[in-house]
Amino acid sequence: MGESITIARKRSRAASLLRPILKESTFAVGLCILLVFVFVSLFAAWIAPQAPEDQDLMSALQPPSAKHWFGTDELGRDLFSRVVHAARVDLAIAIGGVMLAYAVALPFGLLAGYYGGKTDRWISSVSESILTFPSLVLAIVLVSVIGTGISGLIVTIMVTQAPQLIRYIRGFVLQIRGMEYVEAARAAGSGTGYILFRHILRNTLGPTVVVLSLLASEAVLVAAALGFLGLGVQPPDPEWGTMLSRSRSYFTQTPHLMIFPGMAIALLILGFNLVGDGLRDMLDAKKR
Amino acid sequence: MGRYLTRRLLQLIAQVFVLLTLMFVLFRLVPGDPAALILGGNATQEEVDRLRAAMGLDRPIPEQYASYLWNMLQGDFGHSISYNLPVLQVIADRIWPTVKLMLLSITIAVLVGMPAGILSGLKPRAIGSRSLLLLWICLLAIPNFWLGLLLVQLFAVKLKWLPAIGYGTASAMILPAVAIAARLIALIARMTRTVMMEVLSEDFIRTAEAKGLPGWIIVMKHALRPALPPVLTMIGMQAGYLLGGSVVVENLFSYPGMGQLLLSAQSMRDYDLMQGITIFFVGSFLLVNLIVDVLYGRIDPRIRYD
Repeated sequence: MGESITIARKRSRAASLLRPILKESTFAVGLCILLVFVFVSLFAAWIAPQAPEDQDLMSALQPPSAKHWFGTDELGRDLFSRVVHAARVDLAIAIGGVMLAYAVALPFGLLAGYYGGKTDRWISSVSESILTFPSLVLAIVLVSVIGTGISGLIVTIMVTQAPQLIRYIRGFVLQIRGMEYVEAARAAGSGTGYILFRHILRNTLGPTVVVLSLLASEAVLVAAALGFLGLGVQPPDPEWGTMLSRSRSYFTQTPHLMIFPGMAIALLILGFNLVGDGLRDMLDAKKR
Repeated sequence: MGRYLTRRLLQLIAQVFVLLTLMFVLFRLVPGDPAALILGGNATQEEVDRLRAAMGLDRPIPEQYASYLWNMLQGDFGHSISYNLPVLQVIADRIWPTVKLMLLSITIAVLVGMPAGILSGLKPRAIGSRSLLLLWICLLAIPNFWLGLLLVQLFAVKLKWLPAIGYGTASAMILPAVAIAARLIALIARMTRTVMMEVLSEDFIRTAEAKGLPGWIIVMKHALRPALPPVLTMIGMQAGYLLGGSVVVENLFSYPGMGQLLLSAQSMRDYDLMQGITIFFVGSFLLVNLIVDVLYGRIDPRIRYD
């Protein structure tokens, strides 16, 4: 194992950059899944044969056919079009929420990790107490305070995930702070800000991407769960969790209503999980 | 051990204090006047003012905060407007069903996850073990409410083996418990497998083999023990996920527990009740983690509490 890695490292730079990505099938598969979802949500209007709100009550609750690939729902809307358009909504909530959480968590994580002491104790104790809330319970409480809809969901995900990110970033900074190159930079007279951004922030990025990817998978889950409970994106906007919730009234006759949106949620979560796990394996291998 | 426990308990009290403060802030952020909300749109300003005074909402915030903490410490969690009963009384009936569901889920997860992990750890390269790994990856991606729907479709609608909803009978609890447990099964199995693979190459296993002990005794007595602490940690780490999962799954199976109560409180805008339920959930989370930490030392004597 160790030998093959050293051999690979000696080859040309481009090859050594590409090879681990291709060799790491977990990451490659995950990335493909995510790219498909990104593609679908970018070109949803072209991919979907109908607008997601187009009703046709005469052809309600039809099973999958050549005309309606995923069948139709209780209002005769084309399920395939709705699943495709919902990709936009769910992906936007997940990525928006996680990026916002990162933007909020980064300064706190950096400060707590770098300065330690009292700063650290304050930041950590607040974020740790938020972490004692089961995230879905906190999300339900927050949604009833902030309100439902896409922006409400993004803020909710930000609040539930920022404390986790603070904990992780703080941990990464603690590790890096003790490194020799940081000491060298300090000895050379670099300012705190310069050290924080140039040396510490840059080196937290790798492991942070892993965490962000896993958090995005959790965000998809929370958004869909809230939708399922009727607290997420409100109809008629298409969202997978909300669609699953509506399918419950009809599921004895029409199982297809629950199969396809659920599959979409599971695949997107799978994609984020695989990318996260794969990246972590790659980073671990690099360290050794 | 005693000193550790006192420190942990002090820490727990501090956490509860911070938690109560957070809850106070959070529920004061709710848009709109709670008094006006309770009385509805037809109330006159005079009536609203009278209720505000009765609820103590006209007093300054620090005073409200002090009396809020004081009431909480006395076990007074407020009054549920939707049930017109003290919050504690409303919650009391619902706690046991949820606790039962949680315990059953954890039991299922351990009873399925650990043996599966042991088997695949013994022969990590066998096709069976590899396909199990794939199954775990899939289980981690499937949301519990979708799994619940699929289980209902298969076992209740198609096969008619188990009831789709209900409460009271043991058979009605199986599907919800499995839906909640699935993720934990996958995590425990993966963890056990990794530990098993590491342990089996240790010297003390070779010694046990050399003594001529039968294989299953080696696994049960020597290899299993190191696998327990990580599994416990996993349960502690996933406690929040399990509790959150219970909300969705209870809703799906119309199961009369705390999760359903939270949702009905949410839809009725019964903030005192929501607050009480949230405290229950966070309290359970803290309690599970305390138990895990204490059990830890029992199982692994190398761990010292200081």
